[in-house]
Amino acid sequence: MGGTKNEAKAAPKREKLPARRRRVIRRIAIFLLLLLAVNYVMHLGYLLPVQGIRDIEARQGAPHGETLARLWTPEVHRTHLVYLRGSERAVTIADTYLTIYGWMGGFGWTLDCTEESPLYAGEMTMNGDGRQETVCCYYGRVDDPEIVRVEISVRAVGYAGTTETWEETASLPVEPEDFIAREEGRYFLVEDVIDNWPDNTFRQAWITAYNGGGDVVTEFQIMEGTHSHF
Amino acid sequence: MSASLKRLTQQEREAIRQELDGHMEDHMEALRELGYDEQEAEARTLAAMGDPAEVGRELNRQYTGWGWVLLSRAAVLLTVVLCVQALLGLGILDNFYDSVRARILPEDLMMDNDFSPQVVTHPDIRVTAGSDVLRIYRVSVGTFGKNIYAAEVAMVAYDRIPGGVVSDRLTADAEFVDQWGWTINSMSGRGNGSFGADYSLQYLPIQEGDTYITLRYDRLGEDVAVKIPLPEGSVS
Repeated sequence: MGGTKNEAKAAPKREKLPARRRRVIRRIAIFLLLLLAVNYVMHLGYLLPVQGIRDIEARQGAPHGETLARLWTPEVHRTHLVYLRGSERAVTIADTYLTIYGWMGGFGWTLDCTEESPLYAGEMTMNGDGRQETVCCYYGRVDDPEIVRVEISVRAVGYAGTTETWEETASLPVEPEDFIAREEGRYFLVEDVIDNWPDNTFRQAWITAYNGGGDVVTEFQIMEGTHSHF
Repeated sequence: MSASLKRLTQQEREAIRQELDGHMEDHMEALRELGYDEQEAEARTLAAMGDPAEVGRELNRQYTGWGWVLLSRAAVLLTVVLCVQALLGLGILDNFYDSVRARILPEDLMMDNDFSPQVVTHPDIRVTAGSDVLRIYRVSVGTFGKNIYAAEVAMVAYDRIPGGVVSDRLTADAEFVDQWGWTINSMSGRGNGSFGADYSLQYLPIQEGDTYITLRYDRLGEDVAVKIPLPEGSVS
């Protein structure tokens, strides 16, 4: 019994945390709990831009992907960011911006990559309130290893009488080194800022994919996407 | 002793002063009850407190590091900011309400004026697609417009986790197929939604004698098909 008593005596006394540290831990814990509740219940108070992006992915019904590229587009809003996120089944473009509520998700579009297509492409165009410029982002994924290069042709389409005419306003090449390679495919994101669009025309974007020999593998008009106004 | 309490905020200094005063008062009270007079009780209490400089040094050890003070103030500031954000965004709570309501008692969407229902049923068909659930909660048959035999399907999508963000593509991309495998194009439809729930009402032409239609959702690798029994009823 005596031994037990001695052992009890020898046990190290638990040191009390200094008062300031205790108070900080308590206050940070309260803050984190409140943050979690506000984030989860109200979907605001996000400290990170990617939290807003995850809301857009959920809105699109897309699985949460990996961030592959980010663009800062001050032409739309001072804090406006465009994210490209990819996963095995989908590629999503989405935007987010900082408000008094924290980072908020804006809009987005998801491409379904389960259709065994050699190339998936979409667009997202945005412009800020009272601003002249329109930011056009073209994005997608190349699943065909034969494709080494893609080019996006932005066209101003109009009519001369009843005949459709078009003029290329921008050519956006994606060279082999520009691709973001992942196991499931190679992703791309390019940006074009329009500040002076030809009158009486509308915009079309076409994408052409080339193989190593420079031959066209596939070509189509980009039909999927979204436009947002901030 | 107060002089040896350096590097303390005004609040901390006041808290310590109040606590020590309290201790001394209790001690003196106890001594008075034992029969000591006021002066003796005070002298003994002060002696019991020990060396003021030593007490000061011990207390100083409990209040070290201005970094903690700054961190503590930052935490308070952020909490206040968060509360303001939450108050300003109270309207957003509707999303949470919508999400919870969709799984318990979905909104009773108003029927199209052109639809004359003959039989209205309230099934509870729920199917999971990705992280969302699609619930079909009202199926009616009747006539639409100028005697077109039609079925009305009311559905709502919500996230599997209450309060989660629902996809607005689920109801939009859902297709209907008749029992012979033909795609049915909706004659009319409408919807409304929030981050919490996404409602859709569709009017689909059907043939007399049809007993079910199938809802299909094939997107992002999710291939969902669910049979929706049509209520039995005669349509004149």
